Amino acid sequence: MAATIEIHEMSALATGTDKTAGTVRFKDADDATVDTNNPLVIPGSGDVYSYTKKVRAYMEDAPSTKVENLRWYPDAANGFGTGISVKAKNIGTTWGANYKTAMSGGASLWTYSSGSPLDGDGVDTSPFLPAKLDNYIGDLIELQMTVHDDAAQGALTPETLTLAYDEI
Amino acid sequence: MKISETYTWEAEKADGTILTEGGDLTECVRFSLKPSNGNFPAHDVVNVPMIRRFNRGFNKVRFNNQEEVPGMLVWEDGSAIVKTPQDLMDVVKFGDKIRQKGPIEMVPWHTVLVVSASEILTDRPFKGISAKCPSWKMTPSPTFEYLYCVVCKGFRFYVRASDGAALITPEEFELYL
Repeated sequence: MAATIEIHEMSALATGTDKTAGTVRFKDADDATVDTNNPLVIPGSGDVYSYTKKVRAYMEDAPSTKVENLRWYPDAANGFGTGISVKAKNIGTTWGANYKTAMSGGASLWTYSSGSPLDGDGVDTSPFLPAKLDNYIGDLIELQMTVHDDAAQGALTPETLTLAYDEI
Repeated sequence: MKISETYTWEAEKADGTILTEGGDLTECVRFSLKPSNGNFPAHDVVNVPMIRRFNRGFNKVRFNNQEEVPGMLVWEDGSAIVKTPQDLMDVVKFGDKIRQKGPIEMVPWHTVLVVSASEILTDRPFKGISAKCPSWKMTPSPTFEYLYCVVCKGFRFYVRASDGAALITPEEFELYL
């Protein structure tokens, strides 16, 4: 029996919404609802920031032996266009409320790739055994979109974040 | 998402013992992937020094994969046809998903089958309140993949669960899709 590992958008350390194959929308509100409310408004000068988003892996079905080696990475290069960037960082297992001021630390999401992914189990370390069934596994990954004053108006081309894991 | 297990595996030791669990293949002389689906190829690795096996899953989430369709679409209860106020053939494509703007539990996605200059044919009749209203569109993309891997001395052998395609890489190569 293969494991089922989901991607959840988190509202607390161990509470989240399944977004596997779904959508995470960066917005000017602290919720996981995908709609067109609370858009990020291009500033006259400088930057505006979305509320931060946090994602984490969730074990929906257990593996035979273990799940390990959690890795996160985006597809190719930033396709959001001029003036729009996303930062990412691993914040371990310490929950903090989402915020809309500039993220400290972290790196551009596109510094990570399939060849150089963001480690997803550096604090909550693998292996994750079948006993972790119906629990969150690995670290929280925090993300934030920044919109600069030279960004173009309109909806953005979707981008993808991949969670890869190994199981036995 | 539940994994559709397109293969089962077994390994055989030199003394004939069959393994179907675990990851250590150091004493094995054969590793086989047997397709559950008859259209998929079987794969066997034999008489090479084997080290271990594992499977690798890939889940994807999209950022900002939803946008408002230009103009107001006309949804009619019981009809799979959605009238469009203008030609949307450059905006909405076959395989896209559309729905009325509103809570997902109230107005679920419909898959686009045909787009003409004045209407969109979807995969099933709309069930809800007939309305001329703003609507959303999203473009689905592959969101899951699963690999079977056996690590041998000198190479790795990856098999993709979705189509049975095989890939041989150097022993230390980590394949991320």
